[in-house]
Amino acid sequence: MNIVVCMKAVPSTTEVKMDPVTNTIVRDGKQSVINPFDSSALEEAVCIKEQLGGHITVLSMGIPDTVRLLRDALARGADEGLLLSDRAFAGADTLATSYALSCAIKQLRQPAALIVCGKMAVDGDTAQIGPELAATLGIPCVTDVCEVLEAGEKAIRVRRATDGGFAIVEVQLPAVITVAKDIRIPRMPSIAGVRFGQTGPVAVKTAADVDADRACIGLNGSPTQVVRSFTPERTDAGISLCGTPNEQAQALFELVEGGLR
Amino acid sequence: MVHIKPFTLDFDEYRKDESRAVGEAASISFPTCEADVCAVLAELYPQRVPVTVQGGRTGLASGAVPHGGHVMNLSKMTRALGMRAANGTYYLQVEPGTVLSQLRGDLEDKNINTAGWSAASLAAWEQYTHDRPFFFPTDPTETSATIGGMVACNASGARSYRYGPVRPHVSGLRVVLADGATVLDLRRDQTHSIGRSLELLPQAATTGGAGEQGRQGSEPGTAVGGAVGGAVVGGVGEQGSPSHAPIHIDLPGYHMPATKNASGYFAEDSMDAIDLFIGSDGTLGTITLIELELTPTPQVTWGVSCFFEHEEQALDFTVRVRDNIADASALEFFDAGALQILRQQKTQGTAFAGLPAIDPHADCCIYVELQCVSEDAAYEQLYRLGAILEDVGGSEQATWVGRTDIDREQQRFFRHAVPESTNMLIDERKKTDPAITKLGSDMSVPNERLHDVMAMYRTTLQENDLQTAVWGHIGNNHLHVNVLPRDMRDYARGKALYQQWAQTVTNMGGAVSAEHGVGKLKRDFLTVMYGEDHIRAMARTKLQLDPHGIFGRGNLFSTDVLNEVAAAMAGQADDPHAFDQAREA
Repeated sequence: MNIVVCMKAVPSTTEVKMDPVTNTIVRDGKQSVINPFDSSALEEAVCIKEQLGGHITVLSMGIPDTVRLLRDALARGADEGLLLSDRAFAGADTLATSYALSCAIKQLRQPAALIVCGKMAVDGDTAQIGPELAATLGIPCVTDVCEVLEAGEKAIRVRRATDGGFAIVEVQLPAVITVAKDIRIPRMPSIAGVRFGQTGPVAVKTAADVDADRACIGLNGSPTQVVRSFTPERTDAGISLCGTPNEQAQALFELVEGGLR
Repeated sequence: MVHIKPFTLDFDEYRKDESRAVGEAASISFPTCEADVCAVLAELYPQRVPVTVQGGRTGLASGAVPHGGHVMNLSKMTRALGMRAANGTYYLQVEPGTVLSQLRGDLEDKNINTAGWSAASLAAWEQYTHDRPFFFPTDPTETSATIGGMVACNASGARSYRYGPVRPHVSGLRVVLADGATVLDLRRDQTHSIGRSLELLPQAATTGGAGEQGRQGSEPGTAVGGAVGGAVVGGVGEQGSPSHAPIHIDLPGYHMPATKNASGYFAEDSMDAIDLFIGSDGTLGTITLIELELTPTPQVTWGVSCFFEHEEQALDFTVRVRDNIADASALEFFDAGALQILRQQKTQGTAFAGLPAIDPHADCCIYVELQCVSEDAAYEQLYRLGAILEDVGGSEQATWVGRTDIDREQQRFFRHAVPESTNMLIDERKKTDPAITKLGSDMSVPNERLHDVMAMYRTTLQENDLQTAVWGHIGNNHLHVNVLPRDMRDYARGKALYQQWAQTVTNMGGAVSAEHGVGKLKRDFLTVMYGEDHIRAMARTKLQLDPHGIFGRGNLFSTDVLNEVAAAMAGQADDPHAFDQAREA
């Protein structure tokens, strides 16, 4: 089975720097890591490949340094990496990103049977890329998959989390699934994997390379406009309860009781 | 003013440490500075009240468990008192209650409370904040350990393979002696023994008004009468003349094993005076300040977990790695018993469900940590490691390489899950028989005896049909053989085995305690290792510094031995007041 895993580089800390002019995240490559949901997506793809055979392409859009993360994905079981990197992609929202990714997927030598995405990225938290990618490609999508029950060449049966519990869904391929983080514990690379990660194939392509329409990528193709981004200010000061343990307990009781009233 | 409080039920937890042994005490204090320590000791000294000094109580040899008398807990002495820059590195002065995890974080974040530091210290600190990162490399498993406790037992950890135990990282100490009026200000490379004869120049402790300064946490160079920090920075010779008569000490005459060792006093010809106090198990004085030499943080740290189908391959691998991998900072072993318990805990409980799956064919594992100057160097060492692995019959495929924070955290989780999961197993068995407890060894042997000691463990364990989990610092031939008794018969057989091993390990040129210290639990092993004459010599050394046997009662020596030696020193054997007589002798 030919599988594409979509992967995003995200900041490794919660101290995200914002560009004050464009209101987008400053991605300087420093300390960036693979979005943890995407690591789980890769692990699921590797497990399916171990069962059925096939080929895994990891696909990302980002700055040139993202190649480092794609090579890490090769070390963990992917066969090939593809990075979309071009200033023309900069400032993309989820719609423009999913369009760019779809352009790359359409150009793959072997058509993708299954596209696996993390449910969401830990920096943007939108959970939109998977469904938008499926819509752009005109194929079905199952979101929030927590277990792959059966994978075949023609269809895949999965368990997905719903508000009320679980749903079991069987979907014809090609399809997109987005996975929860705990679907699998991502494996660590082996020494042999690290060797492959250093030498394995990773291509870097521009917007022109994938025949992307310039009106649909980057800021031009992004209907989402971020008006302002800011760190919420702490408004409530803490309260320090003093006195003997009994006095403190009494003060705490009155505080809680007052709050409940 | 620090209070000496009656040892009420409120302080029950201070009767024990991580060894789970429980002691007794009549009073307790929590000094906040050196002046407090002096004041407490001075108050107790006339009545010759025994004092057990405590830090984080994370020790495994009962060193901090009181043996009557007073508990002096230093967990409130947590300030950093100053810094100096020299020789391309930095020297940080901390109080003994400083917690390891806090120190690590502060050094990494370059965020230390410098309130009250001298101008010279602040200048060094300013330089530090703009320099490359530095760290304190000693890494015992329990990061809530205090620096004072670590110095007292000469603690180690996984990285002692590369960086040694805490000893070489200590460049200065201040030690208050039993009378509370005498302080030793020790700086490395300043005072050495002549043969086995050592002369120390004590200073008068300053209490009262100066103590107030210390408590206010102002200028470290002047806190406690201008002695704390300043004396360590400047050295004894530069801080006024000693006000007490020199103390003459006869060091024990034994030869220490040429292996990782935390068994008894450090003693060798022409030794540095500071080394006598490091690893002295709280028996000579109270450490009130430690100066740590910091180490440049390596650019790249990677973890490599290597799995083997046969234990023999792991032993061969260790020998080859020692000879060929220059950048290895830790070599840690986990045997079949340990992996089996991990597999069970992963499937049975939720605590370890997040562990990575262990290959069912794996019999044992060696974790190698690489610390390199660059990524290129790390790749070179990694591939060299892979080649060794294949040479000894292993496979590059059967490895986990931790290059990212997330992967390294998984590896840390795995390593720490091993002792935790065995503890859970024992806790389960305790429900059937509360007397059951884990037995853990702490012995090391020289490099050339690794295969021999492992063969000894395997043969004797098989003969006794005991369940075990073996893990530890294989790079230093220092394995913790943990007997997991199913009943009290197993427990008794395990205890007997440990005594037998102590003799065999000693014959191999090894040490009976490699990192936990001797404390109260391994006293008998120490006698096996050095013999009774040398134990008495050690007791004599102690009594020359602590004539009434105030500090650390029960650690290293039994009270009987100490009494006997004190009486002999006083020339009045069997005298019940021998400790008092010894001082005049």
